[in-house]
Amino acid sequence: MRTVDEIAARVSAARAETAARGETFYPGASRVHLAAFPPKERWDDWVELDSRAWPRRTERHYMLVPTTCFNCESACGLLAYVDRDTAQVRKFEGNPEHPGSRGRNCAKGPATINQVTDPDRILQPLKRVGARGAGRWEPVSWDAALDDIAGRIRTAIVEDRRNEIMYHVGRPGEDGFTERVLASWGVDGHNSHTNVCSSGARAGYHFWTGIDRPSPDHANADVILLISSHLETGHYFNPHAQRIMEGKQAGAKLIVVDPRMSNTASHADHWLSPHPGSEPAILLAIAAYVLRTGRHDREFMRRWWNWAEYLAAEHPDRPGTFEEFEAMLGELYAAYTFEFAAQESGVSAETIARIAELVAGAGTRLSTHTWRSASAGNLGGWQVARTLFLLNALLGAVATEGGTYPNAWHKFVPRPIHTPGHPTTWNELTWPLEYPLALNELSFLLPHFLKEGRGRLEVYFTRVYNPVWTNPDGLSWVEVLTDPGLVGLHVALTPTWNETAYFADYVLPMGVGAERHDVHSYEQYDGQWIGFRQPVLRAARERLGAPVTDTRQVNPGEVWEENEFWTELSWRIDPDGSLGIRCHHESLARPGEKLTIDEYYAHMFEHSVPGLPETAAAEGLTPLAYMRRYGAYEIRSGVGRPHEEEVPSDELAGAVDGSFGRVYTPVAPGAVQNIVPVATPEPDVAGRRPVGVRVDDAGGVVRRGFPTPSGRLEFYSATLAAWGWPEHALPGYIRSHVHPDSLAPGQMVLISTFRLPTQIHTRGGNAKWLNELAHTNPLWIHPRDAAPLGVAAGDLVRVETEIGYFVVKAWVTEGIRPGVVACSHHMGRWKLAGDRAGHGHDGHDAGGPRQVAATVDLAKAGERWSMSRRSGVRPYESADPDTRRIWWGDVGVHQNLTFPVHPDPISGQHCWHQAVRVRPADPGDAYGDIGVDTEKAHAAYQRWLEMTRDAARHAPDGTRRPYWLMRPLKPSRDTYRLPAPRSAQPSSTEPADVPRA
Amino acid sequence: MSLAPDLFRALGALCEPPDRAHPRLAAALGLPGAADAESHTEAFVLQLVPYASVYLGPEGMLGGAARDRIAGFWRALRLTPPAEPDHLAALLGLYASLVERERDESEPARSRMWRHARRTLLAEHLITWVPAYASAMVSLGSTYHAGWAKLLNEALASEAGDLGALDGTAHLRDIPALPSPETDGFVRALLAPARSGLIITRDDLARCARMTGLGLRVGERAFALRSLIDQDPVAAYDWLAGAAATSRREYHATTWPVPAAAARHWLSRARATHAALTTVLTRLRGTAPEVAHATGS
Repeated sequence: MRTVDEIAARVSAARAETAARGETFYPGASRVHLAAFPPKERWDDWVELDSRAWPRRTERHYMLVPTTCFNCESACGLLAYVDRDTAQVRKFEGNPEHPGSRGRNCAKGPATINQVTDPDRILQPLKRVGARGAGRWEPVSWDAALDDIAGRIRTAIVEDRRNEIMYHVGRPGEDGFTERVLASWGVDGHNSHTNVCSSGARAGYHFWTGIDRPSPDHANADVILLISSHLETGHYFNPHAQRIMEGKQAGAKLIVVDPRMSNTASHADHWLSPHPGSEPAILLAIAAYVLRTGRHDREFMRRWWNWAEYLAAEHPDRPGTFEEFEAMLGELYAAYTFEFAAQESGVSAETIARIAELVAGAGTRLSTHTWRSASAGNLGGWQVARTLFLLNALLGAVATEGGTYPNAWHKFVPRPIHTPGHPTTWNELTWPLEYPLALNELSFLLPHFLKEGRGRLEVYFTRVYNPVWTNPDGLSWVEVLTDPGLVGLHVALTPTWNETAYFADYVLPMGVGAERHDVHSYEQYDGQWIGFRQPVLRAARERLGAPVTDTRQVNPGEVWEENEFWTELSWRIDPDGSLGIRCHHESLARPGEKLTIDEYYAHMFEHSVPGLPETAAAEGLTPLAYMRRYGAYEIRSGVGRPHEEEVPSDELAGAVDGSFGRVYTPVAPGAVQNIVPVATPEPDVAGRRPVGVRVDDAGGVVRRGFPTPSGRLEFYSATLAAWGWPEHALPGYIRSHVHPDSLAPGQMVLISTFRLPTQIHTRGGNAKWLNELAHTNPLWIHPRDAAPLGVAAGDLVRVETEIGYFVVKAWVTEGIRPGVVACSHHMGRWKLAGDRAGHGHDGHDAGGPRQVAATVDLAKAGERWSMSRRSGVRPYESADPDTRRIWWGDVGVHQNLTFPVHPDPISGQHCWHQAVRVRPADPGDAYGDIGVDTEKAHAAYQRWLEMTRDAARHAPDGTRRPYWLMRPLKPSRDTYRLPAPRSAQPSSTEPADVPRA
Repeated sequence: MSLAPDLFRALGALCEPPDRAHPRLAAALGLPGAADAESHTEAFVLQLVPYASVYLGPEGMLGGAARDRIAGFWRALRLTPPAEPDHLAALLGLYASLVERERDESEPARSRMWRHARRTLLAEHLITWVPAYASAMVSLGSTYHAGWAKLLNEALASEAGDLGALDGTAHLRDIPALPSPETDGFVRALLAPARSGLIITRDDLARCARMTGLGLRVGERAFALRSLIDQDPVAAYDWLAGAAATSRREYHATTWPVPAAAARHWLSRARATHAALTTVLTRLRGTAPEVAHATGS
């Protein structure tokens, strides 16, 4: 007779044995794990009852195929339920094998099925008929479109007009494939949306660590401090939210600093609602408190801060000791008292003091995060990230359990089969001299650069990007997109209609998340993983033994996947290989033939993902088959503290010590499998590469350190000091352009940077479930502000910006700080009346996404534009019976059209917050009315440009930009040299030479 | 030292609908064979549904305040209650996860917090009903299910011994006593285990019909029992009184985790039910109660 203890031990052993075979011990859909999933060994034939057949018991047999969600950037795992009888996807649920999302999804993941079955989606390539923007289209074959586009690109390359080729990406959704394609063409044509998104935060993190994103370990934190609700509510919602809740369950305190009561703030233990832009003042007051109370981690700071460099550069007359620095640090931040922070922020000194005590007590378990939000809203917003990370650096909560890591340590980008060299050209349309320290392309200034004559575009791709709608000043975009002299050919690569695609020459249908290949990795915990996105019907067909050679064979209509498209386009640009392009898209196994998708990923998974071949082999699979089967692979967990790792002695042969403990080696770096982007600190004068840093003592071990020039955390940025901004070389407080002192009487601050947690920007399109959940964007206004205006909830108000106005409904709520109004950027989609995009219909409604876009009239008189709403959305007949059940008509107002550009002079980030006046709508105003003066918009651009300090005057070394800074698609070193001075150039560089503000 | 959490998950999984994993689980637990769909339905759907609210609530039915109380326990742990928070599989899964949390927690204070949560779950929401439920399951006669029930009860008793005494029966004190036999609610109250101390299954009612020679009408248990009483009150109440005496004996023989507060509740209710039924019989017969049914203590 066995005892209960023996039985318990036997069950545990049986479970371990079963798991070792790659099988699931417990049954699927069971309660015993509190959340359960279909066991992976049954993914080939999973049986569920058909709910629509009720009350009959009709079994449905599914093949479960993993892929990766494409509805934000966090790359959560999905499982597609492919009906074995019909070979159609029936639904999407979470992939339990995905280490980041762990089987959980937000609403956006399952809504992928809405995108697949969207009755209004684009199913075939289309070519413009008539004038650009006139709204008439005809079908075109892929061949004809490819030949036309390839011919233009080839000509531009041959004629050395390579800077006329530009690829503008919104949501990348992948790691490096397209940069590789552009590099193979030899063009510096990568343009991202990042400067309207996250480059402010990136700059702040980058100046500290040489890595431009953080990776907070929320699950293990004692205190979670968020200067934003952005990621936790919308963008990285699912992976972060689940770990924040784990942290809270374990007793962590959640502090949210946000002028608006966000979903995240509603879960907070402490919600602070400061005046927008004052966040660094609060953070510095906390930092000063940590120093005053001696809670800072002296040993961590002594070893890892570049304090010695700071003293030598800025205070050479004072003793170069840590104690001297420590005393000076207290002096530097002594002015940031709780009272000062309270005066700036409007939050009481007592509250800030309480928060400061919480933070100071967190020690190394302080996880912090900011993304977009304050860092994207304000002039100097990059200092929000810099002052926030200062708290981690003070407490030693850097790369600790419960602390904040640099993201690159939690991300894995496998080296691909071909790695083309750096382009040998520099594109000033994206990297102008005025912004040498910008972390990303000055993408949102493109219309103004084109108007100023700084260049033109021969071929302009927009890919999963909708600048007319997403960017500020969208009507300036319309002006340049409708001018063939400025944009020769506009190719929109998109799954759904959007406001920018209306102004394209070709609209080419690309696959949604379940219809394309990508490899993706994101920082979500202390580990590294890759996720594999794949066309699920292709994978299902292949599982059944039917090979697929082109994704169009299984995708709806003529929808293609981008990777095959880029390979095909590259071959047509260089059909005979004479341009040196084709070789980067050829098979290694079959020289002279096209590289296939299978070979591309098989090579990557076999050669660049440590451990994957062995894990796959244990299940009798190839690495590619393993990834097709499970969709994700965890490479490491518990990465720990790479900066503390000792550099191996063989790497130090011939090494020399530079200044402040930096060590340089002549030994070339070994081949690396993980090519995650990080900064590339400069070699020494002899060309030796920086390999590590001595942090303990002069003869101590060499540790790997951080990818910064000093190898340490750069409290003091010699780069900022040397490139014209010495006053901002330390973490500090820059008063925002919406600081109360800058507001005219009667002006309020408009916050436009927040997401709706269940929306997806443009690609949401007709995701019907999501549209039903959230479809409008009223103006949040505090009762104290609404009362004097006589405004009640639902009343129309007119919001006047610097260049125009919009008319929107008010939502009176105490969830917003008095003096501040807020309107989500997520809604306000529109389509032009008379546009025939995609559909034959009743003549009253325009084409495009009919569940979420209002039909509008757009008119221009001189430089003044006006938009008026003809109708909202309404039920309609389609293949989907749910379109007859649309009950909402309001789809919000497109406020971004009324915003001028506000480029931060250092980070290049568009500063979204607006100084506005709010008043009751005029008698003639109608909901959704918009007025914009693009002449005023250009004038606003010029005013902000005047704040810059350009490389031509401030570069310390005759280059355009510090070479060590990260840059997507970094061109060759030679291109960094400043061009020869231009003589009598028109206005393009003129603003750089006028006195600075 | 707590038992391995997998033991509780495996026991919980086996009261879920049959799955191809069940034979493996049953073998690991040393159970004879495995349940097929028919025997599973018989045991867990028709005879003894594995929901705490049925055995802890004053109505003897699914849901209600008893389920709400258990859902509140999940919420107190900052967990979202599942759709059926009082299902035995969910409770055992929760118990297993609390064992793991306590084991994996490095902070002693937090570890103690998880241990306290586990102890509370065991004392309030498991041993308040599972021993009586397991005893009834043993009585069904299926060797497989009897093995499962005995092992379940032993595992809980072992855990209770490890965690130490905690009286978790406070919520049972509010369970009303049986109403007067003259009232309409008496028959239904007999079928509410927390009130009567009896777990009367469909199988029991069929046995009653066979033993008394009465006709068993098809319908819900309350309907069937009323029909039996209507046909021959003396025979039906006599059988019920016998069932109450049997329950008392079985509760005496059952392994109850210490402290025996839960056992006292079930015993006292079974004793009170026996007394009430005896009183009814006395009135119906106009005689003293039969001695044979009064041997329980």
